[in-house]
Amino acid sequence: MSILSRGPSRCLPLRSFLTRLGLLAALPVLCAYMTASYAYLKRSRESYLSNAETHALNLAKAVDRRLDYILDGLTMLAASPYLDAPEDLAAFHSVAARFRSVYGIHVILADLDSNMLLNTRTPYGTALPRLPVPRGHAAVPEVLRTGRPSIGDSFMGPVAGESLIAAVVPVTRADSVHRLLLGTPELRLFQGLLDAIPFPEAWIAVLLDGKGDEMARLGQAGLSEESVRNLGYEFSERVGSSNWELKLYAPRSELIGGLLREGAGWLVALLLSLGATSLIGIVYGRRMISTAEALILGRGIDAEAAPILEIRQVAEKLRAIEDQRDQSLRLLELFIENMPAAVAMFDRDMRYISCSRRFLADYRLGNRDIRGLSHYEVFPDIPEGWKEIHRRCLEGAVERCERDPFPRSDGSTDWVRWELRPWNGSDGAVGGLVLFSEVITGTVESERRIERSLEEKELLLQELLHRTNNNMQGIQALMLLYSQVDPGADLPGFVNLMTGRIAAMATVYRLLIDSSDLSRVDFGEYLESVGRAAAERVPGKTSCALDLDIESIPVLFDVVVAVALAVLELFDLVLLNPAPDGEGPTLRVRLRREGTDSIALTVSGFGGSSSQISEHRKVLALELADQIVREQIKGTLERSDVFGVTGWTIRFNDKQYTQRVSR
Amino acid sequence: MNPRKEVLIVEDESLIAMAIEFKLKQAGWPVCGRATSGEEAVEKVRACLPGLLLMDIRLAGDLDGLETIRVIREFSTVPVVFMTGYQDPTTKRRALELNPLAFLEKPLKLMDLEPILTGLLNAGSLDSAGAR
Repeated sequence: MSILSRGPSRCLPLRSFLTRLGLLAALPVLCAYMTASYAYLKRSRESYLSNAETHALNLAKAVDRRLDYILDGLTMLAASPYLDAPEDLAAFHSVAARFRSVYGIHVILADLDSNMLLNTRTPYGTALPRLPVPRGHAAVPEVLRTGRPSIGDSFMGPVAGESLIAAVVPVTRADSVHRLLLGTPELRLFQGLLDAIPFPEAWIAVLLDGKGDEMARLGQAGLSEESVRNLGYEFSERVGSSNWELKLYAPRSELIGGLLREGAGWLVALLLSLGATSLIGIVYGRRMISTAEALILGRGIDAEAAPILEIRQVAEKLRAIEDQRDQSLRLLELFIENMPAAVAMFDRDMRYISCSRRFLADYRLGNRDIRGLSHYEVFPDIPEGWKEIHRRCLEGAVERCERDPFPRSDGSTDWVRWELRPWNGSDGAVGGLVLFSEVITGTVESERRIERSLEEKELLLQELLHRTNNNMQGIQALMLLYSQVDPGADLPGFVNLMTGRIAAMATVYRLLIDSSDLSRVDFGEYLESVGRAAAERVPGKTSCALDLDIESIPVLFDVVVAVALAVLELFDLVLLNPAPDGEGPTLRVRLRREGTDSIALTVSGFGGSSSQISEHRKVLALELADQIVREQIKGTLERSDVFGVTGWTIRFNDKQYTQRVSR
Repeated sequence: MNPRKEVLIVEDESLIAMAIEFKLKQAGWPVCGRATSGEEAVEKVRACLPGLLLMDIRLAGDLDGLETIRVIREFSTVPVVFMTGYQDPTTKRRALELNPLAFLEKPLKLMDLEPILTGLLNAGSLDSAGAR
């Protein structure tokens, strides 16, 4: 697949991409190199073959020139006048001998019947054989037929005893062939001729006569004909007007070897250049990749060290943007840190980006640096419900709660008001969450205290209404009982009696309102108040003094009201019939706590029978006091006379008397 | 004329209880006793088998008047007349669920108490109310 192909699943690491890009860029160079290599190979082969062909041609030409040279010399010699008369043949022999010394070949003169007339290889006059007839092409018959010089194939010389060739020219007189003049060079002549020509060692050149016999050879010896033919390239050149042939064999291996040697050099050069290029590419590529990675991954780079101008410019811009962003972030962190509310900012993984000092304080985190920590690490016991809320908000929801319990690790519970909303990044996607919260435990507790106080007030009002109605009922009951028991009592005295009861009832409410505890009143203070009021109310009030020895004892409101009803009866008995003593009649009241639970109240100063109080009234008062104390507050009423002065003591346990059930 | 039933007065204010007892006796109604708490009332219902309960709703102790009636209903169908100085709507609703013969608010006229009971007696309520 091409690296340029696109697809959603195609994603290459930057290093792989750049590596492939480098290879792709090197591909045209490799193609050019291959094309050039092919052209070079082709040209080298053609050059090699052309060179071989030229060598073959040159060798053939050299042989041909030598034959021409011999034929020219023989033609000149054939014009010698010593050939005209038989008697001059001896002189001609001498001329031919000089010819031999100049041209290096022996000369034979023969008649038209192939009888050898003289031969420079033998002295003149020596009996000579007939001219031999060679296998293959014979020059003599051709000269006789055409009257032109001719070159024959090699043959074994009968006189010389070695292989010769015959170059034959006619000796023409009066336009007819008169005799034949033969030059018979040994084959060595041609071997020497070829040897003198520079010739590649690996090549083989063979001079063949018309019948294919080898006359001379250049190059490697000892090879069979088949080996020679299989050597490689073969070139054949005809030698002049003869039917000789020069064959040249150029070994293919030499061409290939040469090409390989030369190609190897080029290949090495190519590899070296590619290696050097790659090395430079890798060095610069890595720097570029490192720079690009740093840019892509946002690590930031040193603009001064950026190797490429554009990257340096981008890096400088990025640095400027990062500086601006860092400054904005610092400002944001500073802003959040110093917000007077509990604020925390999270990323998408619920890791703290920043938080306010108030947040740290509200959530009892001290001075911990929680930036980078997960919210779930900081609060490992966070309920699953909260995590679900986080997930919803990370999907874009905004959630808030006006009052939410927040259990602490120490077992306590705080109340928080919170709002959780997502914040968006520059790409518009949710980048994380912002938590605004406020610990409202104090507010909640205050509200609860107020609610409880209001409930208490409401209960108190209900109780007061109940009490008022009950007390009115009590006054009514008292009036009924007194009116029925003592029908002869005077009206002013009766009104005075009831007024005192009503005033005593009012007093207990006044004390209750002033009390810090809405269920209790100071019993001592109450007794003093109602005692003084009772003393002032009786006729001839100055005749009875008041002696109060009272402790301050808070007592339940209900108990106070009940005891007051009993005590007022006793007060009236004393005040209406005080006992005389040295200092005059005195109402003595003692209030003491006995032990932890018992309270003792003594009223004394009663002086016995009197005309101011009927016996029925006295009995009723004591019966009322007794029944109230006994039935209502579960106490006791006992007579306690001291030195002839009558008194009564009420004892009750205020802890046993539970508050009236309020429903 | 229907025979008058024995009345048990349940009232934690002794003065009021005494006055009610006095008034009923004066009108010829037998009073089998007074109780100042719910627990005491339950004991006295078992002991004297009254024909009518005059029951204050607010009582000192663990049982208020309503709870006391619930306990008594487990063994007795004695009819009840409630008295209270104040009742909030919830308490009143709870009280009505117990099918009282009457619901008297304090301060009640003691003079009117006897005619009310006599009216209930003549209407036959004192015979059937407890069975409802």
